[in-house]
Amino acid sequence: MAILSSPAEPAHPVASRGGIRRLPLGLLPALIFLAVFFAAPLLINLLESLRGPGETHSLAQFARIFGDAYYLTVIGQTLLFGLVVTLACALLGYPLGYAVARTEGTFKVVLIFLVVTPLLVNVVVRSFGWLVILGGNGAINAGMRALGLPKLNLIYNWTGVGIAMVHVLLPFMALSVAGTLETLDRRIEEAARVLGAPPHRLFWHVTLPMSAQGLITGSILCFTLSIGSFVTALLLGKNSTMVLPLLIYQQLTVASDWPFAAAMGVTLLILVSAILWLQGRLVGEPRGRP
Amino acid sequence: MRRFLVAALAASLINPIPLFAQSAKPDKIVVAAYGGIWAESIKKNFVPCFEKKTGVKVDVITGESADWLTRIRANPNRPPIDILALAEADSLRATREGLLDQATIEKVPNLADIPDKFHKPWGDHAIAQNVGALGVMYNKEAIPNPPKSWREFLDAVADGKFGKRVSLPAGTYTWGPEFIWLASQQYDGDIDAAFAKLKAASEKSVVKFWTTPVEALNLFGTKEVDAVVYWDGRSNNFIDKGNNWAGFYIPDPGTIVGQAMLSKAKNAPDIAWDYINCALEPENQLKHAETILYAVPNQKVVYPPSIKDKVVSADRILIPPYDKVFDSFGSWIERWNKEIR
Repeated sequence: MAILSSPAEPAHPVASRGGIRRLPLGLLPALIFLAVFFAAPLLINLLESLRGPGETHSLAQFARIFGDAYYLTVIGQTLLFGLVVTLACALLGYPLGYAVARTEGTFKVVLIFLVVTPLLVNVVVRSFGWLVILGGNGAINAGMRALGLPKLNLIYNWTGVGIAMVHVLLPFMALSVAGTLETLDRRIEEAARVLGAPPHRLFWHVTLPMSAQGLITGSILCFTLSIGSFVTALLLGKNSTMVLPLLIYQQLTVASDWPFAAAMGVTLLILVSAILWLQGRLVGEPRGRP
Repeated sequence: MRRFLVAALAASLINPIPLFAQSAKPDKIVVAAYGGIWAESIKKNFVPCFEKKTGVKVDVITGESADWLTRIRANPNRPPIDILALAEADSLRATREGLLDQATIEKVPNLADIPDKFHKPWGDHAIAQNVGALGVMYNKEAIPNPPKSWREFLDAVADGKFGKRVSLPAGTYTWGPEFIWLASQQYDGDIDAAFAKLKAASEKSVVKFWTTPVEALNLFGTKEVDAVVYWDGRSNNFIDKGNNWAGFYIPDPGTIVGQAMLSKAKNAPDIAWDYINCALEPENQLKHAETILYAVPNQKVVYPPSIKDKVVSADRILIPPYDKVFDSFGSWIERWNKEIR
């Protein structure tokens, strides 16, 4: 349990004799901010999800979600989509992060700018940009036609939504990996090299394990952001690429069924929390760097 | 109000009664408008009339219907928007929740010239400001002879007659449930038949069921599709910009409309009624129609030849019986998600 220290007590974290951690008074504004703008909305959302007919409370909205194969399918494909996007971000973002970490000077600045560019563009504009590139008459298919190759179906399916999502989430993975790699002691890699480790063994047994924390941080960011996103799925997907946040958006804006939307929101939050907890358990405490 | 327990509680603690008495003259009123040319038209054609008449300034804010409804729900005692332009379904929701004031001829004299179908379904709590008709915009080169009626069009799309080069409004679009209703009317009101046709259309013809008007225009403008079910004003705007290869028509026997419904939020100052009256003035209505190329409901308006053929005539407008179908909208949306891939 966390308590706040009184003004007379030290303003830094200390362990009391009872093992209770005391928090500095300086954290009070942040805690109040969190209580008002995070905990209170969550509580309101939870109450809304439990709202039944009249003044009653019930779990009917949750029963509706978990008793219907359609909603279970959407939950499943939302999570699977998040995992696939995260994996793709890891595969593409690691080399990118490695390049950022191991370059210097102007080239490094240019590289960082290129990595963060997707974040500088509004999501709607970015999605329409992808429509222009991936569409049936878009740039890629124009190239395919010019080469006499068949048309590719790159939008209004998981491929298009996935490409756009990986594009915008890649900076989170690349910069997380780069941040970790930059703090590594290069002498360890040098030692492995001197001892005769070939490049692939050096990577698998030294560099990758030591940068795992960045990979984990990037994965958490990519996963949570991807399964909470709906604009990309709305514009580049179709009904068959339904994800839970898009269903929530529909229930709020078109059906105006707030209790059901709130129940789906609570479900999404619980699922994400459970997966992050599970990930924490599986990965365990990060090993300290030498 | 339970829905916004904390927000309403906080608002009532700060301001337990409306800040302004309803009859007091405020410095300004806040008017909601859709963005782009819509907001420009309101600033140009409605606001000067109100400001001149009352001396009260108007702050025009842009956004979307669901957003505006959320805002007045959150703070009903002191609504952040005085004049709303909600979609039909949201107007009904707001009316049911007691968030709107009821208009009368005494408060809005120009209401006398508005046909009943543009305000009575909402119990006079909302009055149509303008009327956009849903029709078919098509590529004249690819489809030289488009089907005359909605039924023929839907049958052709369900049969894949135009290839996979069609876009229809999604059931989850703001006016999606109304489009499903329109489809059902072509099959004797049979909603199952409508879903069967739309499902077949999804498999054989539809590239994408559009969810935003911009998305639809993008699909058509890039020639990704040859036919799109779309709004008349937006279609005519597109054609008038030199896109002579495109055509637009409203299939028989008539069509549904998307209406921006003018409403005064409950607890908004009474002077806001004057704004609604200004917006419904025949002269201002005509200027609005000429700007946005949508029909207006005031029956005293006489369209000049330049726009007469571009706006829908009142006799071709079909208004869904909201009192009967509104409560089905949620189940139609759910069915849409489950059946239409």
